[in-house]
Amino acid sequence: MTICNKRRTLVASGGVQVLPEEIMVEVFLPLPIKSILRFRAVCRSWAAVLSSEEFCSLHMAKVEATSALPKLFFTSSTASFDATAVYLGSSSGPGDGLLFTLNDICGDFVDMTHAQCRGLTLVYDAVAPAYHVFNAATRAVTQLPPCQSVAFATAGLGFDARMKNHKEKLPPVFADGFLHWLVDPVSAVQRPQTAILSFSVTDETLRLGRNSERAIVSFNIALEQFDVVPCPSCIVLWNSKNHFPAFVVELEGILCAVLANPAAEKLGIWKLEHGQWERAYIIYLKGWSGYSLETNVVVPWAVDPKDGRILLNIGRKVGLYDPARRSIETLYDLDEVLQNSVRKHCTWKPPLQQLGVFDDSSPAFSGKNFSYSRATQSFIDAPDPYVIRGPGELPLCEQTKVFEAIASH
Amino acid sequence: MAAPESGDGNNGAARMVTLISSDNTRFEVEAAAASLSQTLQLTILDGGGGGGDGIPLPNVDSATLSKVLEYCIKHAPAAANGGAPNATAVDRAELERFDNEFVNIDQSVLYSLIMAAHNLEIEGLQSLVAKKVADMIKGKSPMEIRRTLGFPDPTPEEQAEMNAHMLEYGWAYE
Repeated sequence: MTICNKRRTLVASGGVQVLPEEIMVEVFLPLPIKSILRFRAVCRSWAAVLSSEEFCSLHMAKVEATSALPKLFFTSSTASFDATAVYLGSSSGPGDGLLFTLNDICGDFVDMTHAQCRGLTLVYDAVAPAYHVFNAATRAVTQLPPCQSVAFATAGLGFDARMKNHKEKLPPVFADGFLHWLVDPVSAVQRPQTAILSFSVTDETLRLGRNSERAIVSFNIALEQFDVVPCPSCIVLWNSKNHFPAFVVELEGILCAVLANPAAEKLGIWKLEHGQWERAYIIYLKGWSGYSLETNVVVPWAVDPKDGRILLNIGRKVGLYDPARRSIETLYDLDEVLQNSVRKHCTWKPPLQQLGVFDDSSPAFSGKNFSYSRATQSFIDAPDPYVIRGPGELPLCEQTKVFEAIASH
Repeated sequence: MAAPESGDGNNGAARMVTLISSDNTRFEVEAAAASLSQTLQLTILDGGGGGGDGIPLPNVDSATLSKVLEYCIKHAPAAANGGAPNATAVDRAELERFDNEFVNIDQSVLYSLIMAAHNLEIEGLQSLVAKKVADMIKGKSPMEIRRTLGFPDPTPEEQAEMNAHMLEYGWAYE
């Protein structure tokens, strides 16, 4: 028996140790992101391997499989108010790490996507107006081509698997090949201009039937078609008696509808399995004043597959809810972090904080091979959990920055 | 005690196979140990390597092969237990200690070892050596890497690219 060896080699010049590309990939995979970035400068063949889509996907998968909790980051205006600083926060203590600064983006007027798409975060600068994309792991930043004024539009990032590039889109909820928005009838009526890329909520609402009902608008990524999914029965009615906030999330890869009942401090969660809505969880928040539904939008972010605890995001805090004990352990409190690290820059004005999460796993973005289109309905293939910021849920835009999942592993 | 291959017709004694290195040295090892190699496993399952035949490995020299087999013999019992779910903490600690010491070797030996592990498809050894090499190089600058690997000095054009990269990703060089 012989073992054949017909592999591409990375370095072919004489006197040099030659390792096949596959072996180099094995060696590169355990490297931290900092080394990977640096090694792209070793030579062109290393740069090609370390920047390849294939390698970046493998590296991301490896880090996700081996690392513990993802990292948190948030943005704040700088002392001079003409730039935006991105800080690294941590659940164990106040964040002291300035990751990088986005120059010429006024920190008080930025908005950031809740969920990353393949390691990238979209930043909207309302002053310019302009969109920027950054990779929190590599700290690379790129400004997207200019776009029209987008007063009521919301935007997010998507990934087109066929085109291998990123596109701007809404951050709806992605589950099982579909993107979902939950639409309140009244918000569609009040904001008829709200357009989702080329899809108009107004047009679609006409087909939703009686306008006192909520519905979930879904978008089939493969077929690029919109459809309407019925809501769970207790969410569907929307009238003067029943107007509790509702939204959709993705938990454990399944589309879930959430109804917040501020009077009872109760969050009901239904999941859609085999076309049927079933009650999945009830989260009791009574007695946890920091998480009151009267004053907060509480978004279930992920479910820990090991112990069933549910990660809750209320915008300024991230906590773990234990269903068995009905208790919450706060993992991360933005106010504490701000007191300790950012307030010194902003003495009188609370900064517009944006909290996000990233893992050190996404060397994909080089900042060059980018394209973007407001008119194309090509979205994501990545299993990133998204939290709704749909047309009827504008308050969430300001409140919650949601993320990466304990449950996605 | 390693569980011998089931269906083995050798009256309880562990079945042995012979491996022949590129410089014609013969190594006799238990089939269970050699089977850590995905490449060899198929041949061994087909009944190869027994008797006087031996399996030739033209890409692996004797020094490297003996090192590879040292790893396989040590790891075979745990592998036979299906990834060792019932291994004790002591066993695991012992394997870890062995692994750490095993890769504490000269760079050129590591290089031959990673090639051999790759060719023979020994998964555990591949990741062990890859991790070791990664640890060795992770703190180095691009220039240090080039020197270590014996690359020629960068051309002015390459040097300019390297400088530009350093400017763009300054934090990665801190």
